[in-house]
Amino acid sequence: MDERYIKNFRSIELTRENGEAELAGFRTKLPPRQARRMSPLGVLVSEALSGMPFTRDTAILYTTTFTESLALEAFLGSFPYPSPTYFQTSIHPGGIEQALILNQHPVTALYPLAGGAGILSHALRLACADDRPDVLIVAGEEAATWLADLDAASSRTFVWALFLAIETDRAMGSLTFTSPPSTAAKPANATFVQKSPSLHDFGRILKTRQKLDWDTAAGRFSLKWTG
Amino acid sequence: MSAPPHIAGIRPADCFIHERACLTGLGDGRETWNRLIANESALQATPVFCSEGGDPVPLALRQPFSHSTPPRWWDDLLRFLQPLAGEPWGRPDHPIFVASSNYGIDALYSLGKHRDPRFVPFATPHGCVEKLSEALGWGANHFILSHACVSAQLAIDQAARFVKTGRAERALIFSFDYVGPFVSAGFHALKILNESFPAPYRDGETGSIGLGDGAAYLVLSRDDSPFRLGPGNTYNEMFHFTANEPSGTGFDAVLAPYADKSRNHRFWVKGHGTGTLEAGKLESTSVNKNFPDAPLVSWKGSLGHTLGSCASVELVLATEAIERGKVPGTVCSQEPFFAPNVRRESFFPSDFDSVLLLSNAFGGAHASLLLHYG
Repeated sequence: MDERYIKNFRSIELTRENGEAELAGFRTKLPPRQARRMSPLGVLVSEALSGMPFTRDTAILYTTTFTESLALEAFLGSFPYPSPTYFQTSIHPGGIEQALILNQHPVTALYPLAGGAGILSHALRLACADDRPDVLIVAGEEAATWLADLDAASSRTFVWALFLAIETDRAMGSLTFTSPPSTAAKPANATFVQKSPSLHDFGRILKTRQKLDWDTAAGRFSLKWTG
Repeated sequence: MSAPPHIAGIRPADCFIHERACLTGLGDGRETWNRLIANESALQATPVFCSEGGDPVPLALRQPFSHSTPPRWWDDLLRFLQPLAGEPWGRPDHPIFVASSNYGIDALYSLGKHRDPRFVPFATPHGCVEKLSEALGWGANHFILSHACVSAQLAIDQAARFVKTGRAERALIFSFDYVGPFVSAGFHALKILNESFPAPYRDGETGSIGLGDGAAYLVLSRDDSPFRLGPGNTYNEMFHFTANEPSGTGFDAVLAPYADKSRNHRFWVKGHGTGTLEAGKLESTSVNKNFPDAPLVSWKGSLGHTLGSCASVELVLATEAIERGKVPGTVCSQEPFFAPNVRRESFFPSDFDSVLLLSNAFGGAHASLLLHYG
C-alpha cells in the first residue's frame, strides 16, 4: 500500500456564463506585460500555485489531456505563416512553464503527463509511488473552439492543484493506493465508484472534500478527508 | 511469476536494460551504427511544409509525410513493436511508459487543414496510444509522458523507479517521434531550423538543427544484464521558454552530481548537441569543466534531432556501440569545437566502463543518466 497525505489543494473552474470576466480578474493579479502573453491555462495554473508550499525539490506531476488548446488552434490557423509565439506556447507542458517562468522558480523534477480516461489515476499512481518527501499534482484544461467541437480539446477551463506529502503532520486528508484489486472485495460503502473520475470531476471532488474509492486496472485508490 | 511485494521504504534494487531496439532515418539500431561509423547523414534538404513545399530544411524522414489516416508512422511502428505484442505488457506488474514530444501532431495538422473528423483518433497523445495498445494487445497500465525533448529520459526515470522499488517486475519504455509540417514549420518559425545542416558543438558563426524521425524501446528489470542503470538527474531552469539561463546553471545542475562517480568510473559522454550555438557552447563547456577527461559526442548532425525520443534512441545506439566495440564520433561536424573534449572521430568503449547520457529541452529542461557496462 502506498499512502500520501494531503497538505494543501486548490480547485478553480471558470463558469460558462462569466468565464471571460473571471479570467480577466485572475490576470489582473499578474504583471501586465507577462499576463498578456499567458494562456488561460497558464493564468489559472499561476493562480492555483499561489500559496502552494512547493519547493525546488518538490516533484511536480503536470497532468493534462489536451494542454494549450487555444495556442494549438492559433498556431494551426497561422499557416502558411506559422507563428513562433503560438508554436512556443502550444508545446506541452506550456501551462505550468508559464507559471514557473513568471516566478523564475526552478524545479528539479517535472513530469508532464498526457492521457485519456485513465490520466487521473496514472498521475495519482505516480504521486503515490514517488519517494520524494512531497509531490504536487497540477491538472487542468482550457476550453477551445473548433478543436473542442471535434472532441480533440476540452470544452471547459479548469485547474486544480493537490499537494501531497509522506509525513502526516497537519494533514487535511489522505490518498491511498492498494494493489492489486482483483481479489479484493468491493467496499460496501457509498463512496465507492466503478470508474476513475475525470480530471474535471476530480477538481469538484477536491473542492467539496468528497470521500471516494475507485478501482483501476492497477489497484484501488481511496481519497479520505480528516475532520 | 507473481508481482513482487509492494513494500513502503524498500531499499531500491539495481535496474538493468534487457531487450532494446531503435529506428532512425538511417535504419534500425545495427544499420544506424554502421552508417554513423561510416560518417553518413540521414538528413536531406526537404521542404519545410513537406509535401506542401516551402524553404528547404534538413529532415531525416523514414517515409514521406502525407495527410493520411492512419498516419504514415502506423505500419512502421507496428512492425517495430511486434516483439512486444500482447501479454504481459500493460499488466500492473509490467507497466508501459510511453514518451514523445509529437505523438499525433501530424494528424492534428491534417485536422487543422481539412477539418476531417477521421483524423481525430490520431490527433491526441492518448488517441495514438490507445490505438497502438488496441493493435498490440497491451493492457491499460501505460503512463504517457510529454516534456518536449527530455520526454524519453523522464520515462526511463519513472520506469526505473517502479522496477527498483519492486512496483514492477519489468517495465517497458517506448518512445516515438515522427516529424511533420507542424513541428518543422514551428522550429523554422523560431529560426533554429533553416537551410543550414547542423554541426554540433562547432564554434561557427551560425547554428542550426536538423529534425529526424526516431523510435525506440527498452525493457528494464532487476535481472542482471551487461547494462546497469546508474543514477539520473533532472533540472528545469524555468528561466525562459526557449533560451537557457546564460551562465549554464542548468547544465551544471545535472552534471555536478556525478563528481563522486567520476573518481570511481571512467565514462564518455553522449551529449544532446543539436547544433544550435548557444546551447552547444553551454553544454560542451560545462561537460569539459566538470569532466575534462571524458570525450563528448553528439550524433544529431547525422540523425537529426529525434525530439522527445532522442534520449531512448541514442541510449540504444550507445549500447549498440558498446557491443560493437566502437563509439561513433561527432558525425557530420568539424573543428573548431567549443571545447577540447568534443570528439570528432570514433573511439573504443573498452577504454571506459560507463556512458553519461544527456538530453535537454525547451524551458531549460535538463536530464542526465549514467549507464554502466564495464
